Amino acid sequence: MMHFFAKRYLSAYLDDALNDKNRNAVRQHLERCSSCRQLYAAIKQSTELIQSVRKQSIPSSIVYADVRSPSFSRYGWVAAAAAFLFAVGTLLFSYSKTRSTIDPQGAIYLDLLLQEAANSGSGPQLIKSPYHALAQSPVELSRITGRQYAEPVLPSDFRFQRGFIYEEQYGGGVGRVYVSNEGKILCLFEQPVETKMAYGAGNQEVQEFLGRDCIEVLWPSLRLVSCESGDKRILMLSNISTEQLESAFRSYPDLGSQQ
Amino acid sequence: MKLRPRRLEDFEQVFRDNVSRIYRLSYQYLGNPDAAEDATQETFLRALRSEKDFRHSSEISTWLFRIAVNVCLDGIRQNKRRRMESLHSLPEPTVRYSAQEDLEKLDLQRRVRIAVNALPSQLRMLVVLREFEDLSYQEILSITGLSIGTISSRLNRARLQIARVFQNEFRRDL
Repeated sequence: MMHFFAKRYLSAYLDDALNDKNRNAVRQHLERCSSCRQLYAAIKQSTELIQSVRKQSIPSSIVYADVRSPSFSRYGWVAAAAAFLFAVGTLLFSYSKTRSTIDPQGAIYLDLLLQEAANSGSGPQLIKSPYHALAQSPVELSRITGRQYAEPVLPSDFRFQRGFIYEEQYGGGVGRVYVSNEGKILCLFEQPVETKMAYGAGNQEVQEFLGRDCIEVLWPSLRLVSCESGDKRILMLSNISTEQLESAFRSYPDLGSQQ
Repeated sequence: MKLRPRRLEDFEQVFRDNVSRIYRLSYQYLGNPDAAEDATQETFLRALRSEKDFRHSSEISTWLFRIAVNVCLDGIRQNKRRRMESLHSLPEPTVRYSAQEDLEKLDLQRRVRIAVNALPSQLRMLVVLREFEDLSYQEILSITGLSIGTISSRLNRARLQIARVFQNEFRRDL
């Protein structure tokens, strides 16, 4: 009986996880039992081996090194087109000089916000996008991108949460996330119309608006409000009431005149 | 589910306080930075969704670890063609080693990682929690719900399996 007990608790004994009574029992058994001593020696060596290398196991310089580098391989057939379009978008927005290493924790947090927006909107999840920069404020976003952004006039309880430069398989652009006191999330995505891309359930509307074909509906849960070919901008809003959506749309300076 | 304002702020703080440890745990278990990031994200997303399940009697970090362990064991996004056991998927060192001793050590590190990755998932997770995360048996008990005896016997199996992989070198050292 003692043999089975001691054998079971060899690791706990090694890791000093036993109370005095059990520790003494295992120790006394080890003095008598050669097979348990052999097992204990092997367990101890194995632990020492892992301990000897574990500090090197997760070098901090590696941890996030590849997390957000552009990677189109997962996107299959659109990879080449996306790469090209992203290059176009990059030129249009002059991002190349401002692309910066982003805070990976902020990127994960932003992903959470975006997924939350998509999930609570009863649609599929947003595609995870590599971000090249994250901004904590509109001023910071402008500094990163070198552009000025008109603040949408939203209900007073909405506040700026994150700004980011993103890319996904159909291109890239600038995104902004606002969160209301009630926890509603408003996502604004802007990207050059020159990329000939369109999103959302209003795919047909986009095609009509642009007068040309779009590729495919990508985010059915996100409601397309409008896009403007002359001003290189698509505006998308997600997960807010129709009333708020219309209000935001009306008051958005660059698009208000189209209402 | 809707984010309430206070909760959102609280969550951001919880996120900041714990994201590094959750990422590290995921990385140690999955062995791949991309998969670890997914697991980290999934962990916090599940935490957001299951906030009501959080019992304030336990540490929030323990609760998050519990979720992260389940996320990792669930093998999130298995369809993403990620295979962590492959030697090629292990991170390349960023530091250049010149001394032969360092090279050997680096090689040993990779082999130990492969041996750990080859363990059955439940055993591997215990090794990660105990050996890499340095958690006590009580903490592991809180996270996994396993008894001290089960934790110990599973660690026995895991360590002995690793010992068998390196038995020739152990003998050489004796």
